[in-house]
Amino acid sequence: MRVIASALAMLAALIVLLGSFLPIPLLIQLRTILLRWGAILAATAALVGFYNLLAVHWRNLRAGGLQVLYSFVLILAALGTFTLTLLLGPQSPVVHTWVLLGIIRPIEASLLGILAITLIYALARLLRRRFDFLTFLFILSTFFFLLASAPMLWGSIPFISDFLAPWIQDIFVTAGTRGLLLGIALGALLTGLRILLAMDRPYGGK
Amino acid sequence: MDEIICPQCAHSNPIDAVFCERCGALLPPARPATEPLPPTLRPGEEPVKKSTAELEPLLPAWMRESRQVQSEPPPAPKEEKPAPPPDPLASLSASEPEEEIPEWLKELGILSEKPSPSSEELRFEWEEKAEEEEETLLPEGDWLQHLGSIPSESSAGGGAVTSRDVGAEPEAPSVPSPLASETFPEWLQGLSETPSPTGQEGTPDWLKAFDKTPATPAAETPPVAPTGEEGVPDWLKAFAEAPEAPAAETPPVTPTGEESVPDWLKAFAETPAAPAEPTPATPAIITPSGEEDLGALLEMEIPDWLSSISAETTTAETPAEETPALASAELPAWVQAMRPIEAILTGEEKGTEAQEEEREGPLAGLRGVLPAVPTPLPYSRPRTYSIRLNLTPAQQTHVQLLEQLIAEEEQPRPRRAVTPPASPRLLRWLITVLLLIALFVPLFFQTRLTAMPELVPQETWQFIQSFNSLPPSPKILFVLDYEVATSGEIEALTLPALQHLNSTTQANLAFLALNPLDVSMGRRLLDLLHSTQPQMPLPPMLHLGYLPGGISAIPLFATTPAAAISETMRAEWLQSPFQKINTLGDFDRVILVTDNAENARTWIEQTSPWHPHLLIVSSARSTPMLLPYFYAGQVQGLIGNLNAAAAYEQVNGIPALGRAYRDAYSAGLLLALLIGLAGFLWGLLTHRAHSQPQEKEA
Amino acid sequence: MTLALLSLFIILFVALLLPILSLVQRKSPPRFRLIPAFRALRRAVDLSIEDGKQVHLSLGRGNLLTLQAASGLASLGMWHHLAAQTAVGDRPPLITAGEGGLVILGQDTTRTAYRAALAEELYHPFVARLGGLSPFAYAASTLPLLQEKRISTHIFLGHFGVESLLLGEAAERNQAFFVAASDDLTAQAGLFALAPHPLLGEEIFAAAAYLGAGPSNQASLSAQDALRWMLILALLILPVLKFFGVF
Repeated sequence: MRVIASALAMLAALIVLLGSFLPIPLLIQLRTILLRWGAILAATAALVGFYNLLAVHWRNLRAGGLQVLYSFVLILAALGTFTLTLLLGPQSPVVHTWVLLGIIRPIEASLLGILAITLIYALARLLRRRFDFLTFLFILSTFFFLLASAPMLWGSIPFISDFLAPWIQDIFVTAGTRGLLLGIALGALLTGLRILLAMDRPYGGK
Repeated sequence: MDEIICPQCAHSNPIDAVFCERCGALLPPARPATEPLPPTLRPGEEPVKKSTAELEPLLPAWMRESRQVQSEPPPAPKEEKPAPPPDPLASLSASEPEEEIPEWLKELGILSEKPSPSSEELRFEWEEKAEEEEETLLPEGDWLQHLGSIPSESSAGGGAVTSRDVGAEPEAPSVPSPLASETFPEWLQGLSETPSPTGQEGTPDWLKAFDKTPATPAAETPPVAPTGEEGVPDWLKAFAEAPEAPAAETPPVTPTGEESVPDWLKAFAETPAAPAEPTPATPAIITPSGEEDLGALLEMEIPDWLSSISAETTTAETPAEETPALASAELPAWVQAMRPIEAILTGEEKGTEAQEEEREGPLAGLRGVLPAVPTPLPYSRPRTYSIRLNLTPAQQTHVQLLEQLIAEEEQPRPRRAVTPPASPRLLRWLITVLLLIALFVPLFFQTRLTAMPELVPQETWQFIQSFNSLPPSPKILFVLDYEVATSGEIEALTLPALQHLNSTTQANLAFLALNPLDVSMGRRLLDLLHSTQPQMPLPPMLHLGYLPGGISAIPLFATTPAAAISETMRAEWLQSPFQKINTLGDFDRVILVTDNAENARTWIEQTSPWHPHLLIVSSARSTPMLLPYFYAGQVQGLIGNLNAAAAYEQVNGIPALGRAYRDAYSAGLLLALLIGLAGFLWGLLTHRAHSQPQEKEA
Repeated sequence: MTLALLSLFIILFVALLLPILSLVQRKSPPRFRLIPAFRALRRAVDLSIEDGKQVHLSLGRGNLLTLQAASGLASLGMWHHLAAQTAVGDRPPLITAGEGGLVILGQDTTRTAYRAALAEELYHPFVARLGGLSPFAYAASTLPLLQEKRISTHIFLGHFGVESLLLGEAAERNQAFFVAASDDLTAQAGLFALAPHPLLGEEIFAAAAYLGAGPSNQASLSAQDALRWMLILALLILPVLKFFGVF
């Protein structure tokens, strides 16, 4: 079973990989089909995850304890939204106004606001947490870009906002960003190849 | 009982649960109510053998590996060799796993003669003796009595069997005890069932060698068969020939049963036959008669049981008067091994006889083991040595330093007073309150304190120019890929572009969502547009909904947009002005509205073969990572932050959210800067305060 | 076309390089620089098992059909090694993810690790569970877990956005150990300020090798280093060649 799973995974990965680089119509067609299947599987996995979420919280509900209310609200909200969207459609004004703009948007925006507070708090305490050169550089660059991007009463800070900040951004920040992104891309490439070569088998199987 | 109570939180869990539903603790294994309790083993009951083979896979790998190593057969088991005679010592190196025989047990050579692999028969001789003495069982418990079908005295007299009973006259030398065949291993049964009148055919070779051992008179000694020499080990041969006791000293042997009883066993028979005397004479460990014999004995590595036998053989010299009336204990070999070496030296034999003999306990029968009266030890005044050391000055200095170091270590250091940090919770609340004030006051009072940007960023200017160069009735695709949480910022950035489009051209707009939650956000954007330009009609639009597959379906959408969208939207697509769009490059403009730099990069890189005219509206946190694409020419324009949006509004001449948020944005940024700066300075001061005492201590 | 062929060549080269390096490094394992976060993580997991506490792994919410899946898969590779250790603990580990596919893979990986540890009977499907499908929904559903005193170690390895900062801050407030790494640069910037042991750049892909998952993972790191040097050389040489008009 494990061998079959590995062989299937390797074959699918190879077809998608070659179909992305070689202009062979058959490969491209196969790749398209596989990607479609992948999209369907991903949607199915989301449904499985949804069931998993409900099952976990149903168990919490039965078990009692402090999280009963939380689990109850979650199950109620999840089933309500699911049913409503299924019946009315995702673009229905009811869903859009009540669910999206009335519940989801304020809650997520609040979390984003808390995140801002968290970041400011972390910045204020950063030097007490770590006292090294990198931390100094991090704090000073943060101050610099906060100052450069903040609108002032008179407009913007001359030289800093107009010239220095964009220059540092274009040269150093972009260079550092690209370096980090290249490293991440290499790591992603190696991780993908490990799956392709069946060195990693997260899909289990006996 | 259809539930399991958690031992940690006392929550009742289903019968099939492995972990507690409430606290997640590992639950004890469940036992259904119908299943009876496992039977407990009561005293006297035999344990039932259970196969544990199915539990083997549960063992850790290292245990299984070790198990495999131990279960490997021994290279050459000696018992399976057909040629040599049955050597009882062969079992000392037999295939019994080493782990099952403790080291102290291995030292008991006789116990290692494992006649059968059954663990029930792995009983020690002294254990059996003890049981027999306690329970006065039948004599078949003593295997030595049945060796060679020697009937014991107890079989005749029905008394208890002790070691001194062994040499009693047998009643029926050739008839083995019926119990013996059940109790004894086969090789022992074979010995008992085949008594030869001459004692040669049924006697193994190693026993034949013993026949030569006691120097009995020639007339009474059965003829020694010439066989058996090949199978006897050298050390046994030496043993057999070693004691050259004079024949005259050999006590007379009872002729009855002489043919069937080996001579070395006759020695056993004679020992108890001696009349009892008040002074016990025969200790459990009997010294040999001559020094030369001892030398030969000590040169060899003889198992304990053999050495005791040989010793007892020589007790034939012992006068019958010395036989103890008190039953001497049958000591296990390990106790025998503890005997003092002086006791077996012949030269001291007479001396030991004069010494006190122990009468009780495991040392019974031993002489001179414990001093009867405390003898004065030779005393000499110990020599006194000077403890004064001759130290060099350098060594003295080192000693002083060491003492000083030790003394400092032992002294408690005064703990440095640490100022307790301000409560994190208080600090968080303080930051929250300040931030809320900074953000809500400008928004609530609609302040316009900050000046509008004088310069439009280059990427935003390119964005504007791109819209200015649109053809009439352009077909513009908006790709929405942002979280609902960031919709406030994204809407403020997108609105100027929509205003621009709506005021200058009659564009056909299509909205495609890469995020399921953005399906209806296109409508939200148009509602905002209508709220800022209520006098202007809204442009024609097509909501394509969610792109099945999300970000992974971008290449497919770029190749054939109509095929990539969902079935329900395809009908609307085919009836709209977009029906002539075949690839992504056919759109006049593609505007990616995103807060996710990763997705934006994917979009840019995967759609580049179709060369779309790509514009991006990006949240401030993603803009730095997308700007390089603008500089590389892969993106034609970018609105990247509120400053850019405000500048766009300035160009449009229609103030919108960019202007409304500008003061709050500025206040928030400056407050963050101030709090961060205060924390930075506080960190510097506290670090300096902490480091100064450390430097002083150093 | 040239670019596609060049990309394919690089991929094939790395695909060949990986098994070779695995064989080579089986004999002579390489020495990597010290990354304090992984050392602290190993210790924290050991302490959690010792204390009978739970270990929580968050796989992020990277879509398996995109590049973002790589960090989640790297996290699973690391988890395969750690799950075998947690199998001997008093409490089962807990895996959360913001993507359905990752939940299933997390279950499979845990079951495989338990089977390898001969403790498959302790496995339960609820060991992995879905959080929310959007970033902040995921954060909202995971935040209550971070208040649990029975969980002493939180590992956030995968594709996260800024919502990971909320999770990290909650873990820290609960005085629990946490390690966080993401392939998202925005999240990395925030985590640098928040996490006690920040992981930057591609260090997330080194987790399995640093936690002793085996020579093949170390070979991946070596191959990654080799590729990085090739890239540096190309970045240095190609502009010079372009300057002199070679191409």
